[in-house]
Amino acid sequence: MKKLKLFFVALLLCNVTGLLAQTLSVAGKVTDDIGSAIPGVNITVKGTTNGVITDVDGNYSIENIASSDILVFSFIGMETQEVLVSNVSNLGALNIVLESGNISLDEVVAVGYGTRKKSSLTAAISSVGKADIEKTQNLRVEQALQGRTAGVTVTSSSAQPGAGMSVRIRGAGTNGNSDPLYIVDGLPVGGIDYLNPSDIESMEILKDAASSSIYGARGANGVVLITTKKGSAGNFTVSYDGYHSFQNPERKLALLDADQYTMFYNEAELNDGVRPTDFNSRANTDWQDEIYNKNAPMMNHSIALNGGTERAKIATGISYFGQEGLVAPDNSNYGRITARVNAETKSHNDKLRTGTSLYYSNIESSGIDVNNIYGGPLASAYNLDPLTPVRDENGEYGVSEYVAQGITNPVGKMEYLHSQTRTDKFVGNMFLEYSILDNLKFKSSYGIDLAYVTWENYNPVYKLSPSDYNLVDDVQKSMNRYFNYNWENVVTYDLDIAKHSVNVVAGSTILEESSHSLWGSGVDITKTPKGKDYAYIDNTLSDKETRNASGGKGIPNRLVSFFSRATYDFDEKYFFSATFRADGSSRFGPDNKFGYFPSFSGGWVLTNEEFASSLKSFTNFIKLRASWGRNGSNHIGNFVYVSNISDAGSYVMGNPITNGTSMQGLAPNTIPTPDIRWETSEQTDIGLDAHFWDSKFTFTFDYYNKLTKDLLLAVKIPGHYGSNSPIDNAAEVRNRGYEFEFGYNDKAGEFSWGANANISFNDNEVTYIGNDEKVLAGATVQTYGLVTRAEEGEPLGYFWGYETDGLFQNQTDIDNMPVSVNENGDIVKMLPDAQPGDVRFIDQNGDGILDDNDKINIGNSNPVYFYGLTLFADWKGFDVSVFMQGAGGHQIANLSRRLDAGLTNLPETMLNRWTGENTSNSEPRATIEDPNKNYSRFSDRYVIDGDYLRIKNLQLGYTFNSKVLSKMKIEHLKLYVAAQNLYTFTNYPGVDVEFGSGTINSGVDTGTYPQARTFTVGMNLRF
Amino acid sequence: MKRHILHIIMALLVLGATSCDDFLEVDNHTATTEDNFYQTEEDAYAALYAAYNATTDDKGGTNEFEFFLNMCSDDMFTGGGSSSDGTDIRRFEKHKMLATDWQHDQFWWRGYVGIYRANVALEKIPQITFADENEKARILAELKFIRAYIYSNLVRMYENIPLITEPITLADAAVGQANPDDVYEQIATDFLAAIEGLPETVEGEEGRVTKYAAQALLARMYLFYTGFYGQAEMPGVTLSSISSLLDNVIEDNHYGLVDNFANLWLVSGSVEAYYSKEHVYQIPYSYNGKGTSRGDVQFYGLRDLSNTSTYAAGWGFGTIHPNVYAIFDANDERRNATILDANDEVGENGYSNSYQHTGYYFKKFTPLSEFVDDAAFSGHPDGRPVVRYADVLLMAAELSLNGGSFSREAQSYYEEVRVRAGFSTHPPVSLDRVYEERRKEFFGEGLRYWDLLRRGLDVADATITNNYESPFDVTFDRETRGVWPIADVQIQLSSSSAKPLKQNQGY
Repeated sequence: MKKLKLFFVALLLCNVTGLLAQTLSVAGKVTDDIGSAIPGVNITVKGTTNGVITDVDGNYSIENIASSDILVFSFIGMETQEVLVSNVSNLGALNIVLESGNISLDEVVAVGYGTRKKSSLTAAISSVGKADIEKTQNLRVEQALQGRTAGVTVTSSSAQPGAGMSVRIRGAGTNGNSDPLYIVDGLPVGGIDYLNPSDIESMEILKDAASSSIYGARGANGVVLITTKKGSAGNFTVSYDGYHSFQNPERKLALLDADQYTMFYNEAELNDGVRPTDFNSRANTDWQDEIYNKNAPMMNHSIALNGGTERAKIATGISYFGQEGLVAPDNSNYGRITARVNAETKSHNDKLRTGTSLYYSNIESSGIDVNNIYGGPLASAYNLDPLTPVRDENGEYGVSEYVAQGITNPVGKMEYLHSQTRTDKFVGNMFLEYSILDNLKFKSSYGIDLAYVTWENYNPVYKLSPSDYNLVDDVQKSMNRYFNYNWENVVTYDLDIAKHSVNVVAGSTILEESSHSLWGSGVDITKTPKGKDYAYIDNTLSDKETRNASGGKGIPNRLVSFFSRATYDFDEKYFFSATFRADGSSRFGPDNKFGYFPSFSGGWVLTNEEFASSLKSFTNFIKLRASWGRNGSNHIGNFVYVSNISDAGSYVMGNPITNGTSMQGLAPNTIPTPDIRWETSEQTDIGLDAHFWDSKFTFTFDYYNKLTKDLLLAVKIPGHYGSNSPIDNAAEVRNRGYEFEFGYNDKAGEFSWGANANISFNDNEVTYIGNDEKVLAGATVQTYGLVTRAEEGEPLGYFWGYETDGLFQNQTDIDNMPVSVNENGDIVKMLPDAQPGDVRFIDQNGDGILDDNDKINIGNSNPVYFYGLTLFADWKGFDVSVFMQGAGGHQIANLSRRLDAGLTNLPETMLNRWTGENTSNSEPRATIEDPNKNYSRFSDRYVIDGDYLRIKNLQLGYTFNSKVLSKMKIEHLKLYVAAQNLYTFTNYPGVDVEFGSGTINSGVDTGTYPQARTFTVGMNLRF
Repeated sequence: MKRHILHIIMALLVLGATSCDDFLEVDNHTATTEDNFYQTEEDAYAALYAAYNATTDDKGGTNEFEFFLNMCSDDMFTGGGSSSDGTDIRRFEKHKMLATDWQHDQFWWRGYVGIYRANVALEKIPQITFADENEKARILAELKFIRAYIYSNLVRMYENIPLITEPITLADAAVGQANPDDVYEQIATDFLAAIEGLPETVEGEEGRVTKYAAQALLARMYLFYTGFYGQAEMPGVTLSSISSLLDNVIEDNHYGLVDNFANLWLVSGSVEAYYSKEHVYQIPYSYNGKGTSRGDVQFYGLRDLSNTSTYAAGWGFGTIHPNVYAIFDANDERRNATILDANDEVGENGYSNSYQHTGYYFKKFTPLSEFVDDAAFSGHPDGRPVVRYADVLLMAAELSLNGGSFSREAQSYYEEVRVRAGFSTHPPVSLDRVYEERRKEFFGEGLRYWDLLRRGLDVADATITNNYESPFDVTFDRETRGVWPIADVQIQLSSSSAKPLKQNQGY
């Protein structure tokens, strides 16, 4: 107490002395880099305790200063600025623009069930702020994560409107579902496609187990915490963000034209000893051109209102996003309307805080089959011969004479597809937080996630080929309701004694996911006119035999959890944290319901030590971190621990033509796996955060080693089990790697520039497989067979096939091939049907027989490294930014050619075929019969390096001078133009090189949707 | 303040105490699992129908396996729209099958799906209490029948197959291929057990099997095994035991030939086309979604036909050579019921020519306007006559000629079939004449190919290999002995097991 008195006296004295020496006063306004006022900014005179804060409009005025003083403007989450008073020309209007800084050490970031100052984190958490999100145009929330931070891989494997993106945090350790857990404003949600990217305030990515294990059972793939924009105290502002874009395919496959096609196949027939077909060249159709939608439009408009008082704040908004597909504009499109309200109040002596957020989305989407070798317009456009006309002389859709098996006229196919999904989704969350003591808070929150999904499909009467036709039109419709709730109760306790600071969090949650479904169908639309607009079950034949319905209730998925976390800081130098969570899931058998997930972490800030003070001018912050923790995954269906009995078809009893009745059969669809249990992953992380030259240059490094145990896997089994693939704890996978992030920001006068770069290296290896064979089968592609599998010591899902050694050039090569001796004592050539010009497959085991024992690892779909680079600069209102993303060290299996569909069109590269000795050593001779199985044997000829560097986004903007705008009562106005997917550097010949990875089936290209190259004009306006 | 804290702690405790275990036990109102199934008689029937369903689903992609047997035999050519239409089907015709052809994968796993359904039901149903225990015995007998039937097909297609007779678990990965003799012995065991529990008639329950179906199918397997492997008898069955079982089918007098051969096929419009006294075992299909619909019928139809009052369009597969048409005597009533002379019946301009065009198509199973024009049409309903009484008679004649003991003379069985075909004079019966009669009687019903194989490789080679010009040329591949290749995919999936599947000879 005595000390305190002394302190006050000293303070008083300072002020008194100050009063004597100083006479100046300074006033002005503090805004952020997009011109909005920042209330609550600290303005202090350096080296003194003299200070004020800005009011709700960002205005301040400070007195009693000398011209030699330095004013320090600081605010959490912003870069601190210092101004020498003698340099200020207009002391009455010292307006300061604070740069929002993701580099600020004082930034507060969300961690599970709380927030932490970034400088005191002991775990690997990356954060993406509003400023980053606004720097580029994002169609989806996931895109805002793309390339921003090391260790987070975001790829789109289909550019179809509304198609999801694959988000992988530190590689994939699980096979079932490698998507991270998304927590939006504290509520776990199934997916985030309902969110409008511009509604997001910040996102935090919990990468290591120390940060994500507070989410225990479901944190194994990492956690993404999303905070939506909240109201802030101050005048109400209205903002409008909008853009309009045009999309075109970024690339086309180079395929043969009509002349090349007939030439190639006639040559093949000659090689096969068959009389050459006199091809009926009715046309020279480029099917890709025929199906692409030129300059497909895309647009976004959103309006938001934000404001309130210290006690009641509100943020609301409404937005529309619409996108037409690059292919099939009528059948591949997406429209989303969102509306949201976020409100927060403080009452009861500021002890009670309540908040509500409501989000509504209406999504209408329709799509076509992608990456499906069997169906859909894309596979047809890639495989159909160019000789077939789009329409024949009678105006009917052209039917191919040379290609069959479901590969039909894609233009016709598009016209006959009528499938649409409508989703209404409500996400709501309400919380109540009561401060029992200043340092003891109780918070209870209840959230719901409700979705109604309606799906309609109409198959009109059509005939596209002898095998693709529909004689009677039919309609199907389904309505499903999904409802999840989550109730959470958390107690938080803080204690600060001298240099010791303790924070304890404890709580529990319960969660349930449930669903209801209803489905119906009818045939033969009896109403005239027929057609899509009349495609409702009510209009179909009213007949008990043809009207079908089914409906039911999904098995609820329930989770009960208890969790706690304790953190301890000493003098902002040493940090410790421990978490513990217990999760019980209804999906596991009686003996395996609960899983336990602990974690420990620690950090040491070297720069706060005495000995480091001499380094301050060089480095202002260095922290070492280390952590270990355990996580889980329960991404499996219900009741897999017993066999599910399902519809096994029916059987007619009695004469089916007259009085027969249909008898429903029921049987187990998979064999049971009674001992199935939690998948757990254990992860160690060692990290370093460093800032140099007053945070101008920042650097983060992490090493991690993540071992996923008891991996839940659909185990592919041979057909003689007579069962679908069951799910079992079948393997262990290790992901380990290094992550580097670099940031640089600098400024000279009105010119500021910077760069952010990150690169992560990941090594994925299957360390254990729980069957005798130590192998798991992965993807099979018809006519090529099994193409991926997992094996101990190899990456999860490597390509398994034959290695090749060029082509047989001449008879001598043929004569020299390996041989074996068969049962009858005859010498048999390894490739008995090989001729010069055929592929020379390698006999790995040297037994002179080419069989599965000669198949090896011929490639890996998991990128070895993944990187992102953003460059940006601002000058007098102009800003430019470039964002690039790339990956490398991995392969893609290019299997979009159908071998069983007749004379399909072929890649242009096949023109480089072997036509005589030494004409080619890579493309085999032309053949249709393919006796040497050059094509049907899955070999390294199909496995192609997937390295790429893509210019994802280039944006050029101009922000109008706020002085000019203020006359028009406008606070902020920015116009910009942007280009997405401007160019891709890659040698991969397929239609897109960006592929999701991380499952045992990944990396197989069977005809994807092209990426869109998009040009955009946009505007941000606030008043 | 302390009181507040206490309240909150209590609230948390209460939350925790709402017994987690209860919350985590979710009620199962809709999902049927092994735990709540196999409890009632209805469950047993549903399990039985699931197994029966597998017998309708033995397809290679779209077509039942008999379609492919027809292509492999000397009965039919692929046809289709062009040389590139059905290239995989044509490889069956040309005896150049590939292990990568998807049909082999499909026959394989679809067959084993049926085996699994039968094995699980055979294990679970004995624990169910039935009001009438005879009914339980009957269901178990039917399941054994179905298992034996599926194995009969798989072993003749692929010869070296895994033999599984209990519900398999993940731990039993290394099954390996069984010695074909063991498979035949299991087939005999199952059919013999089935005969004990099956009824003599199924009136009102057509589609379910009788003991006579089991007896006839066992005789068929006996003839195939002894012929194909050149053995005197089949494991578990002797010449005298099988002769007595087959004689019993005839002497019990439940069956007979329908008067008019044409009435056996839906195209005739006759009510006898589905379940008649001649159908010893018929697998039912439906056209309106009541059950599975038949796949191959669409393939046999004429291309681009404007639906006539009788025929609907198909895809022009299964063309028949004029030399094959010519084996039928002009007086043989079976000729015009079996083969559709398209130029005669619908006229040259009424349809498009197939590839490998001959003008002759298969008539027993062909798309019919009656069904296709019905709005409820979802596929062709033609039944698969697995065993007709005519087959029982001809097998009896054959076994009798081989020394089996029967109530009547071989000549009498032989003549009964010929009389129905419209003949009044008959040469003395011989094995060759029985085989010739079988070909005409069962043309296109999937019996011919295996009938040829069981007469030895020389006969199969000499009959199947022709010296026709392209595109009708066919050369039998002796190295394969007529056995089909095991799907590459299946070999790969088992490649890592302790007993990987081995490819059949010649592939």
